[in-house]
Amino acid sequence: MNPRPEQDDTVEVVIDRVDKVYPGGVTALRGVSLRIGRGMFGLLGPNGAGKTTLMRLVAALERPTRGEVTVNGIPVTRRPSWVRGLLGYLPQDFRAYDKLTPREFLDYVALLKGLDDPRRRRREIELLLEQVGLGRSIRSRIGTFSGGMRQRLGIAQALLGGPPLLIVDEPTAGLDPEERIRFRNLLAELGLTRTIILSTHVVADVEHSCSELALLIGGRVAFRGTPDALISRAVGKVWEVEVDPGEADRVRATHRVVSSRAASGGGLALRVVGRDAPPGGARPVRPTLEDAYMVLVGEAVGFGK
Amino acid sequence: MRTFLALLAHEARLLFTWALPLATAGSTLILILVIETGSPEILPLLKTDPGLALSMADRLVLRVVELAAPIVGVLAVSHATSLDVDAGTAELVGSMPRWTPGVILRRAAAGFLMLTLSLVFIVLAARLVTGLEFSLDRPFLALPPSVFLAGLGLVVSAWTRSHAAGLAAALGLWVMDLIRPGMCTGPLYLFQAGRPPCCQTAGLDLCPNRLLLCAGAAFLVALSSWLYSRRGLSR
Repeated sequence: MNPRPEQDDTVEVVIDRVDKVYPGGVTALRGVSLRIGRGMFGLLGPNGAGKTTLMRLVAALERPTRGEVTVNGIPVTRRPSWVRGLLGYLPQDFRAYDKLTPREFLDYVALLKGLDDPRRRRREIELLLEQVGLGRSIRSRIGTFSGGMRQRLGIAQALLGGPPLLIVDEPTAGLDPEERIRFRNLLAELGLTRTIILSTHVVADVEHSCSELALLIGGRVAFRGTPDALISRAVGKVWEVEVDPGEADRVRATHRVVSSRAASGGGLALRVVGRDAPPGGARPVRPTLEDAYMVLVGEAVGFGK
Repeated sequence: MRTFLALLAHEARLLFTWALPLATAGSTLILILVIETGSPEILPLLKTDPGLALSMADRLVLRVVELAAPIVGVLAVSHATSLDVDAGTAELVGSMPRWTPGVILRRAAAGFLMLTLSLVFIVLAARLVTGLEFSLDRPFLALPPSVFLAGLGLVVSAWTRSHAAGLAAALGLWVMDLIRPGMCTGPLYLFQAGRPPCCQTAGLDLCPNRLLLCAGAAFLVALSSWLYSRRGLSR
């Protein structure tokens, strides 16, 4: 049996008015609608915003309470195995069997993905292990791996079989800056021919690799569009201001602090977002994606601390 | 077939724990000691009444194997459903296109294969070391109760998502049936094959009983794979 569907790199995911309410009444998603096509799509949001729930719905690991998720027009709940056949999935808390070697683990995953040809499996596994920088650890047990090595193994298993739809949840967690950039570039390259949904807290990952993004706050879509469009929403709401250390709390009460550093005059140089300029000679600055993210979160839950 | 065997080998690798060869080695040692202790009664009979002597030897061996095999079986199989919870891989396995309940069916098959190989080792080693030519096939009457107990362990592990709970349920029933045969299990009694006829409690004949245990084990394995796939999706 080969559970893989016909190879088609064009995958469109449509999330249509989806609600997800867990037993006990916790609402994770409310009326979420998104259309995700080829390329890299970033999913940003604070903890508990519903990003992981949304990923799990697309991966057919959960069912929506209301609404529908379709892949190429086919409801995920109706043909979950077919959808999983298109899918490479890296869960947020990726773990592997400690007693196996990376080659054994990837071979097991490849078999579960329906890659029945042993020669193809072997070739692909060796290539992927080289690609993620685990070529030298091929005979070590996974139990001896560092956090970064495990994460790279997780990325390798998601890429096995060249899936046309990749769902990666916090993929760069635990990677050092060089690895993070390398992986980001790899994803951007893969995004030319397939659909990739990238969920992350790291705004820079989305800024450098995604052509479109959605911002989830409290289970709702607070923004959907290009990074530039998100940045333009923050124009006139980002300031830099120098304050005495004792006055910083006063600014924090009405504004969200994006960054703070020691200023040359002995005070604190704060970069803040808010509806109005903070008092004390603040000057407006050009927003970045991180500023824009903070502005939207602030607008949803309040700017003060 | 090749893919199935490759998957089976991986499942066996995942299920393997050092407790399994340790339990097998311990059981072999106990069986050898029991035969050596019982030999003074059996060996003289071999000259006068060889049929009776071998029947006594068979019963002796089966009694020990009936005690050992369930432990080996439960150790080999009962953590198949909790393995992914313990390893944190349940979500990953659940996202794979291959039929999810098949994971447990394959793991159960791999575990039962390891149990059978352990039993073959115990019986052959005991026969080789003691030189007593007891029946080679009769000890395998202990397989059905072992797979039944292992199946029970699987169901409880899948339900509670805890290996410890599965072990406790399977070994609890094992102890209960040892103390009071048939009290909890009725016609599914586990430990009467090795007892002399005068000690057996009323119930089904051995053959239907073993068939019933096999059917019960098949049902429990199927139930556990269903529970595994359902609980994996509804977290």
